[in-house]
Amino acid sequence: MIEFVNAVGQYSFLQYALLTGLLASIACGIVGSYVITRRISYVAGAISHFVLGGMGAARYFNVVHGWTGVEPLHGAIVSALLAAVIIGLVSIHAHQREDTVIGALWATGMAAGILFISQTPGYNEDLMSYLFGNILMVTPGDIGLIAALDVLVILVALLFYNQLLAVCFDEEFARLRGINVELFYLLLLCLTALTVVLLVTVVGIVMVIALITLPAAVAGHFTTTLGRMMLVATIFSIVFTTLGLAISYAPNLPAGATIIVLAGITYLVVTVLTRFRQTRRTGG
Amino acid sequence: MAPNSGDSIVRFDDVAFSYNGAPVLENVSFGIDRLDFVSAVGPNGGGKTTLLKLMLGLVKPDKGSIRIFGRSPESARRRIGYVSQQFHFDALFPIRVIDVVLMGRLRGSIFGGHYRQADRKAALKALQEVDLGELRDRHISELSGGQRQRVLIARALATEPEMLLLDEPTAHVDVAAQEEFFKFLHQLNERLTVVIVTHDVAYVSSYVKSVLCINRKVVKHPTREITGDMICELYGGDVRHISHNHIEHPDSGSDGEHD
Repeated sequence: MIEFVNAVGQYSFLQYALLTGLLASIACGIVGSYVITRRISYVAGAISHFVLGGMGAARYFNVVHGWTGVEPLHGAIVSALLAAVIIGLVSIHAHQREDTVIGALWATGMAAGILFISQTPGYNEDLMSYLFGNILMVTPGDIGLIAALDVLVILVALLFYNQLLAVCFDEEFARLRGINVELFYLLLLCLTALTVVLLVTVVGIVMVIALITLPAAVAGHFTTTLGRMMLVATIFSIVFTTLGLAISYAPNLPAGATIIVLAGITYLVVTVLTRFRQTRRTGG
Repeated sequence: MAPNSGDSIVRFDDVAFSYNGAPVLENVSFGIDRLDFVSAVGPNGGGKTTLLKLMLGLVKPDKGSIRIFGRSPESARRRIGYVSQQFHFDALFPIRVIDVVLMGRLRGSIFGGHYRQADRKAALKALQEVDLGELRDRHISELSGGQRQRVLIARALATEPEMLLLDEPTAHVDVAAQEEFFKFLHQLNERLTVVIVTHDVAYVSSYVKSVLCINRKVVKHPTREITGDMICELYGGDVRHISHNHIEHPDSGSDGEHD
């Protein structure tokens, strides 16, 4: 651990990694709380896997066709928003087909990504870093974009807090009060999409679904309002990402996987302890 | 002294609605007057919920016209306080009692989610009216079923409605609590039109002024005209031990009889 603290002072890539974790955690805590109360974590899963298509395509056109301005992060943003809008429109207009579309996007997005990456030099490294995260490879250019996305997500998520809360809690009542429920659901999916992109840079495509849900799920055990859930979830997310980086550094473990295991263990322990306390209370 | 001046605030004219080709409601025509207290009864699947959704503009009729306060249901719905069934929402949702009631103060405009001081006051007043002011900061999971029902009523009252629409409000309360509950609705009925939907015909409170019998067709009766024959017709036969003793309830507050 001391080795990590010294290294942070020394290496800018570790500073960028910590900063990325910190920024992503704020959006993660806020949007993750909406995601678990509205029960759309599977939508977040589909969006994150679909993103491989966008990242692969961006990398392919950059390397093979020399589109130098196009970075994988750009491809991720576009494809995540595209997936969110498709899922949102299907859910609004053909509710019973939602799960089919989610499954289709999940797998075809990945397949497209794999095809693009297979035609791009550096196949294995790229694929591994997209799938399982490359927080130590974040560049100063990425940080700018990540910070901008983060600010956008936080502003929108907090500005429309009461409407989003109403849509998550009781959609029918919100509609009767004149709220454009479809619009706010689409907005929520787009916020989820951008948060997924932020988290992909931290833990990679495969593990996003855990990082978006676990901090909020842990926070849910301690809080009685959505606002406090967001705050506590943000704190847990910061702890998981920072501690995960620190633990993984010296033994050279993959950072993303370490963060997720940490989050998973915390969730398990908190859930079991809460259940134990409840049984004791009702039992005695 | 319920005014019955004929100013119908709800007007259905020859309304029909079908779901996937199967008729749910046919030839429905009736009116509800201001300050009426209507109990809509009928068997499950008879079209009660559909009728309610038509009134709120959540579904559109295949034919016929529906006017609420003389306007289309969509444009009138903000004047209706709607109380959904209480199992409608997730009791583990991170939300306090007062936050649920505040939702009654939401507006449809883009920044209509920002509550002002007046909104907070109105929400608290509504919560106090259902006698739950003390529990304002409790999490909803800490409340009993009956208390949650009252929170939903407070949320509807916070909208400052002219008509209150309640879907199966007594589904989870015992008979003693039902009596209490109808007394409370009776008080609200002094200033609001009240419409409740229930599948429970065995109990029509003496405070109810008219009964809307719904089973594909809709027939409206003043309470005093209901007979066992009508109930049998509605339910297609053998419904035993329903004895509605429909004494029109005087406003003096003395209890009407019912079994």
